[in-house]
Amino acid sequence: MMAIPLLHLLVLGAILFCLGLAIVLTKRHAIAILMGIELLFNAANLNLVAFAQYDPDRLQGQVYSLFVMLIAACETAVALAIVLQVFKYFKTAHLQDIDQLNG
Amino acid sequence: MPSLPQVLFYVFAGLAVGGGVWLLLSKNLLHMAFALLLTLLGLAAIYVLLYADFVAVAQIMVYVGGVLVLILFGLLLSSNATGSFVAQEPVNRSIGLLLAVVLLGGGIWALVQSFDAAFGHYPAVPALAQQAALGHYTSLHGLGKQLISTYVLPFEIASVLLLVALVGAAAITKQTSRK
Repeated sequence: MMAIPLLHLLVLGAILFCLGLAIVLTKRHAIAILMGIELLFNAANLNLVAFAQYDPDRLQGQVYSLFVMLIAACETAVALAIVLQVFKYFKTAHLQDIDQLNG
Repeated sequence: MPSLPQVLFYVFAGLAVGGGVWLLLSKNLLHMAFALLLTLLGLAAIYVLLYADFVAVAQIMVYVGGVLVLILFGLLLSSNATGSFVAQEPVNRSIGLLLAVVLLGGGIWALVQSFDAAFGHYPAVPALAQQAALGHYTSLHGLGKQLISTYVLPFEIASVLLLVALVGAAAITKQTSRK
């Protein structure tokens, strides 16, 4: 029986993390940046689940990944509420255009 | 000759990375949401291959059923009639992509360099796979026991956090609609 090589899982996590980072850095729209953050969370989750394979009794990685998902759901709900308020107030959700504090 | 789980892993990894690349390159926010859907589903399938069945189902229910739908509603409510869906020219393109590529290259290089020293002693077949090979395996028993014993305090705090986030999101959305 052949298992999935751990190195390939970690490399996949690294690729997804860097894609998420590039999205966070290069997108204009606040919701697009939120999607990039979700990608970052998922890359971290993949590593946690990959290492949980070697921990059959305690499954700490899987438990932790469940908590990460929960925090991500909370974060998205609150962040979207804030984005909607920002959109109502500034009439735009592009973060570059919201520069009131930029003296 | 790779086994079936390995082939499936590479297929779903390709799906996840393809979704991520589409997410990065697309200028249309709605297309970005669909690309995120591809990535999330590919990762859920990979979790199944890693014997994390409950995490895979939670991924589909929470991310696809919850977060992604929430994001689509956010898009619906934060787009004006003049079509801000498509006007998505990227910013900081060169510096952002450079940083991500450098981090990716450095990360993969460091992983490959230090992999044998750090994880070389790990068994070739993970312990979970050995258990699964014995018969029907599910991570539910282990996860359930963990969540009501070792992690019972974080579990309860998480439930309170969910409630606070729910009330907070409702309060934030309500605040200015009253004015």
